[in-house]
Amino acid sequence: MTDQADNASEPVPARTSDQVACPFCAMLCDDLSLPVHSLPGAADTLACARARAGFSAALAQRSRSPTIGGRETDWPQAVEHARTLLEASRLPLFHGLLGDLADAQGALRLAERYGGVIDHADGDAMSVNLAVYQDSGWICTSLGETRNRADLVVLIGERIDDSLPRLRERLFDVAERLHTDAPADIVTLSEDPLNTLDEVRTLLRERPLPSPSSLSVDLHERIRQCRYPVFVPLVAGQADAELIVRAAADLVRVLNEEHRAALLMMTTGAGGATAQQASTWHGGFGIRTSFAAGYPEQDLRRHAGHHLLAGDEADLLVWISTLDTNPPPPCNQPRIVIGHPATAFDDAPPDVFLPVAVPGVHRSGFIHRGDGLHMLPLQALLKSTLPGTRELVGQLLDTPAETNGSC
Amino acid sequence: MLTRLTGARIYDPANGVNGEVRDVWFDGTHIVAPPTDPAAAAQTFDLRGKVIMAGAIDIHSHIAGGNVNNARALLPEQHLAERARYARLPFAGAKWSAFDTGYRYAEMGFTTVVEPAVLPINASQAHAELANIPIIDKAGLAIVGNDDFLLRMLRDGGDQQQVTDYIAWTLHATRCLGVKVINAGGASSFKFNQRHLSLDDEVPMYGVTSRRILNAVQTAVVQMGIEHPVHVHCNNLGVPGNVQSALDTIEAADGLPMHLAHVQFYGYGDEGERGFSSGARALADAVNANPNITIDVGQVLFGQTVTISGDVLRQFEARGIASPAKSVIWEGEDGGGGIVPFRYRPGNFVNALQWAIGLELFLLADDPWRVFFTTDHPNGAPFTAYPELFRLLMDRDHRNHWLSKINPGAVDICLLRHLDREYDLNDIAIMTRAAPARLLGLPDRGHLGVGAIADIAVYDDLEDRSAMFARAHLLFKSGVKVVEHGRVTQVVQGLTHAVTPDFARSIEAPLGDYFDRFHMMNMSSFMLSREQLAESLGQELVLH
Repeated sequence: MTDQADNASEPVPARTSDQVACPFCAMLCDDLSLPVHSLPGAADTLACARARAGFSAALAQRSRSPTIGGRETDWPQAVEHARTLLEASRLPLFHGLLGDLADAQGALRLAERYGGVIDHADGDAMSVNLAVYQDSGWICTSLGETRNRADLVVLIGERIDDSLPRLRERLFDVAERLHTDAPADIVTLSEDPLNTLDEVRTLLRERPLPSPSSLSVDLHERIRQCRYPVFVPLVAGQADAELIVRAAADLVRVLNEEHRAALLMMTTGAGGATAQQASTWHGGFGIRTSFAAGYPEQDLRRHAGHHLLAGDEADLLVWISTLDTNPPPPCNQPRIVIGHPATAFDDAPPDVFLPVAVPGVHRSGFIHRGDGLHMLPLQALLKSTLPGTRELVGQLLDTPAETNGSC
Repeated sequence: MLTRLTGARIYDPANGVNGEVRDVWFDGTHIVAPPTDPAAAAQTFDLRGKVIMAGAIDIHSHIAGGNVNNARALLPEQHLAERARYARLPFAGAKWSAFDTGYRYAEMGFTTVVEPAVLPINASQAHAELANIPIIDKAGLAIVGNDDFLLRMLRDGGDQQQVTDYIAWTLHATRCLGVKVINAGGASSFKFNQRHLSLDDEVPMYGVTSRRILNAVQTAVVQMGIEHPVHVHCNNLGVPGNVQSALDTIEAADGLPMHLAHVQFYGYGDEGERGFSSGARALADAVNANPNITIDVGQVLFGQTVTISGDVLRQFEARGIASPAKSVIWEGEDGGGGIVPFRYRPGNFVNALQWAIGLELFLLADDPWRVFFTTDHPNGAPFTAYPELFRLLMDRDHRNHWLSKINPGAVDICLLRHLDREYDLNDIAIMTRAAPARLLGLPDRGHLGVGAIADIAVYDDLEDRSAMFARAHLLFKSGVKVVEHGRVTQVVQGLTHAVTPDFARSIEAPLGDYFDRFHMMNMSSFMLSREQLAESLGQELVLH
């Protein structure tokens, strides 16, 4: 029975060196080739700049000492100092969350214990989507469905390729799709998308529209010709972002009365979807939730991390970033960084720096794709001496990490 | 620690014990035979006047996964907190969180709960959420029946053995305990803008009927030899006249084991002035006549809730009755679903009749070993409404009280007012303990025999059965006292159960190729390893 599985030899995911998963943007491509991870320059051949930077930094930095005020120290002292700051804080802000599930869960456990607020570095963009979602819901689809089934994809936004470098390649440059040989028609709306979406909606409803733009007329006609248009609003930072998302959601609702259409809603930053999903099953609501009252309260505006820092409402910043080497934003508050070992602080070191393992390089983990549907397993590629976030948070909570991840 | 529970009346139907006063002994995590010397007990609980049952088991409750979690995010107003329910327990102030789910089940004496709708591509999140539910044991059922790989096999005339191998592989990949079919082919049909699918309708592009898909999956489950039969959400949920869909599905089972989920939602005739009537009699008769069929009811109870389903056809259709007026319809690889908030109102004719139909099904079904308590949480009501449901079934006067309050038009045409049957504690113990353990293939729980896990619930024997079952006097989980006087006093981490049926590894070659051609990940990214669940989620898997 050599061909049969049994309990002793059950199948386990077998990954080859050309199936390395990249956690550094929300696409989570798992087709990277990193043949000998430990060699210097192993990541140099990666085509995607974001992957190249992410892997290069993490592969090169397998160890680092914690610091207090920029000076190297030992772990017990660093942890003790961080705990002292946490205990003294009236309202700590747990921000960044540029990491995986263990990072988000660590932030949540700390926020609950120390009565703080959680937010993601991309909280502004995520909150725009969440506000529309909580108001009206939406009709949405996934990355895979867009790849396989959409016959018209409307990309809405100005900086899509910066945010998700391989989006076009992985969605559109594909050899095979489901039930069709035709490639999808791609339209990019970068100039005044709100007006175009409004006009198209009006045209679809066959209401009077004195002088629609040629772009709107063209898009309306393409929509009428297709079977499964997908609208992808990636409008972070645009002044009318919320209105654009709302207009796209409404347009999709109108289309679905008779036809099919969907939104593809993506977070773009590292760990955004994981932060939102984990915050929701822990606290009930998602990001921008405060535990200061002893129970969770979400406020998408008041609990914005930058707002709490600028207004001095938060009195301690705990920046958690295992996937990004950028330092936390400058602020007046004391700062604890639980972060990537290659984080560069220049001449402004935090009060405490606790360097931890990078998920998908130094340790295993889980992280969501930007559409939130799939949470991808990440494997450790090489050994490091860095602690995992879960273990470190256990120490900061003064409970052994081994008890379990949850309780 | 050798522990003696003494003086209580014991309801342990798996071992033929019906209300007799006996001792229960356990040592560490398991129930043991009474020692010859009662003084050997390291601790003794005097439980005179109490009732003891095994820890309760819920076979169908939507407690984890993206669809549930996105419902939380959609409806912040439904679970605003005002205080922490427990000062020292993690996330005890977070209503409807994973943590709160564990605390509330434990308070009622539940120790094992099954999430019945794990979409394979979302399985890792479902497991992550399950891992964060404290105290209780958990398991998931993997959704199949809208997966392109399966439908292609059926379209292309693949043989049944391949189908079976694929579904067994899916169970390994998703670490689930059983297989769920949700409106077989329905989510695929919706992708081609077909908005209804009955048992003998063909799924567009594949040329296979819903019946064919269901039959192939059911056969696979039988061939794999796993304990839990195929768990079926039929076609046409919620549609007047859909009792025929349920009857047709029972017939399609062809004598092989099949579990029909939340059948209240299929207990609908289309007679009367309003075209909506009770089909409970016909459905209960069919269940009674077909011993291969098990059902859970999916009882409706009045109040605000949210419907969460992988039946995207149904949810799309229902979006117009959302209350509050917002909804989510989503599609993903090999499935879809929807989230539609809803308030069941006693004065509403349809809602009142739904309530009555569920109770009729409970009371008309003869065999308590084949009927299971569910509210299809949260679709019919939150699981916290179980105690009220127990009382409705155990207390005819309480039902009459409600019949006097609900929509009189519904009362006039329902059977319920003519049904005098009252459940007893033995019925409750069968339906919430002994029978679910058997249905799920968990032989070491659901009973109090020697060798069973020491999952033991102790209740005050109150006349008000709702109050009795709302708060366990004591709950032991694997021998640890976790609840006292209806309050969680200690948190332990439960286990997650999964099956590992044999299959031909040769299925992995075409599957790997399929992933490379059509998925946005390779096959290994789709599969969950036991080691990674332990390492990254802190969740121990028990493989059956």
